[in-house]
Amino acid sequence: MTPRSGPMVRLEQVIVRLGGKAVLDGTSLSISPGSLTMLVGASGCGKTTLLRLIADLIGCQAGRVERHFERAGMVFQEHRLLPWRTARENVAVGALQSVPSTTARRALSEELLAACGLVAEDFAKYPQQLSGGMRARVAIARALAAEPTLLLLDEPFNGLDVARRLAMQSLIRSLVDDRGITAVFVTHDLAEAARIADTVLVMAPRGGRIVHRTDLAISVEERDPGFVQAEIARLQAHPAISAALENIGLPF
Amino acid sequence: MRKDIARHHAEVLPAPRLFWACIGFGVFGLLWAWGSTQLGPIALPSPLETAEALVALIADGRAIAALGDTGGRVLAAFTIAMTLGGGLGLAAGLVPPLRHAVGPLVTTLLAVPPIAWIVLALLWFGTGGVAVVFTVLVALLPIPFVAAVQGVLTVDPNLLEMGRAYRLSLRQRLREIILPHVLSCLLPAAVTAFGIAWKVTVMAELLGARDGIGSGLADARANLDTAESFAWIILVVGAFLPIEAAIIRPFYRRLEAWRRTDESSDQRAEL
Repeated sequence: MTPRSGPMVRLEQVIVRLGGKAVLDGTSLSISPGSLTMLVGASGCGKTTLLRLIADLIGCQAGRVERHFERAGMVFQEHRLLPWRTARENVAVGALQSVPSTTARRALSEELLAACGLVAEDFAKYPQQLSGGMRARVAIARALAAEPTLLLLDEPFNGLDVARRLAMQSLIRSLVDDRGITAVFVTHDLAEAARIADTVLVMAPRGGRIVHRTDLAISVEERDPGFVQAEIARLQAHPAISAALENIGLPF
Repeated sequence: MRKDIARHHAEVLPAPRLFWACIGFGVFGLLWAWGSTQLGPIALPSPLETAEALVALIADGRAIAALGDTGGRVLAAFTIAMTLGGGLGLAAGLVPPLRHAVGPLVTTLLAVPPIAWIVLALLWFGTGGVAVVFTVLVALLPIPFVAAVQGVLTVDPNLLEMGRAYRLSLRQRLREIILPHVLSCLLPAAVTAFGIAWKVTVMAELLGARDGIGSGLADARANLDTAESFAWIILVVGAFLPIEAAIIRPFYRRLEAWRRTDESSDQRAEL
């Protein structure tokens, strides 16, 4: 797929009110095609709302939203797998719109589950029988089954141990690099951002505005632990982030 | 850990639960036998006289015929009620104006005792199977209706949003998200409805049919044959349990296979 030249998503002075409260109050951002953008910010700062707005699950009361993507695949924080469907069937749900044939959907689901690191014996298991990491992989496979040009991930690795988290980060990075997918990834973890992001956007603790943007020019392969630590320190030293850290106590 | 606890319980209890159940029934049988010696066979026939009456009912073919009649009516009314009530409940759950229009009506119907319905059914349809099936059907309808409405209203909104995120059509959302959840609410209602269907059918037959177990009970009462009345009652209870175990429970287990995986996930969490 040929990446488009302009931004894939552009928000200008967007206001979203939920329950009478302005969760997003004048938020602006743009997402470049083929990039991995990490959104960091305090709990309740509007990260999930921003993702839902980009996915067109909610509307805005003011401002301008431009969406230049064909299909979005969303990985929710709580994964939102159907408990009455097996891993394979859950992934197939993502392909219901793009792949009409049941047989083709099944084959695609198995291919994606394998690509996300599940073994064949897990394909027929229900979500309740899978570990948290496996459920996250199924949710990612489901998002990929939608053949998305934009992948939206809302803290999908919460609760995973360090080793699983690192493996999943590599998986997401390889999806962006190998499949040319654009990804917007919400996280609390600055290290996660420093390891795999092309762009890090920091949101204000309230009102959902982007208060800082860092473009990490160095390639992911060249980012050794020293670079990651230095980048975290650099991010933390920025006034906008240190203020956010004081308010929210990010885990560093 | 769980196995250790189970083993510990097995060591503490001198015998399985079945043993205690047999003890309970044995004591009940002894009290029954003693009561019949005190009250006489017209008021309370002995267990032996009841068993003889039951054997006679089976031997002359009346039991089998009555079971066929009653069972057919139960299944007919149950199937129609689950389909109609479940379907209407699903529609009412999805369409708020329909829910607000039909909901109070169903609540009102719930308050009408089945005995009132049998009187109306006899007036409308005369004595026979149709009156019985109608009575049972009307008595059962609110059960799946309410369960289906509740099912639709309690679907996880997060799953519905997931459906919207993946641009699922209404039909796809129904099949993948709404119906499986509604079904999980309908199945316990089906078990309840089946038990009620069995009891109301026998009652309706007693008043409004010339065949079936209820009619057999009515004949036994008219002949003051208490032993045969007892035999019919044993037949009702004895038939219900195997039918429930052979049809309803396996159906339930098959449709809810995913629920049985919860235990294995607990074990995984422990690991």
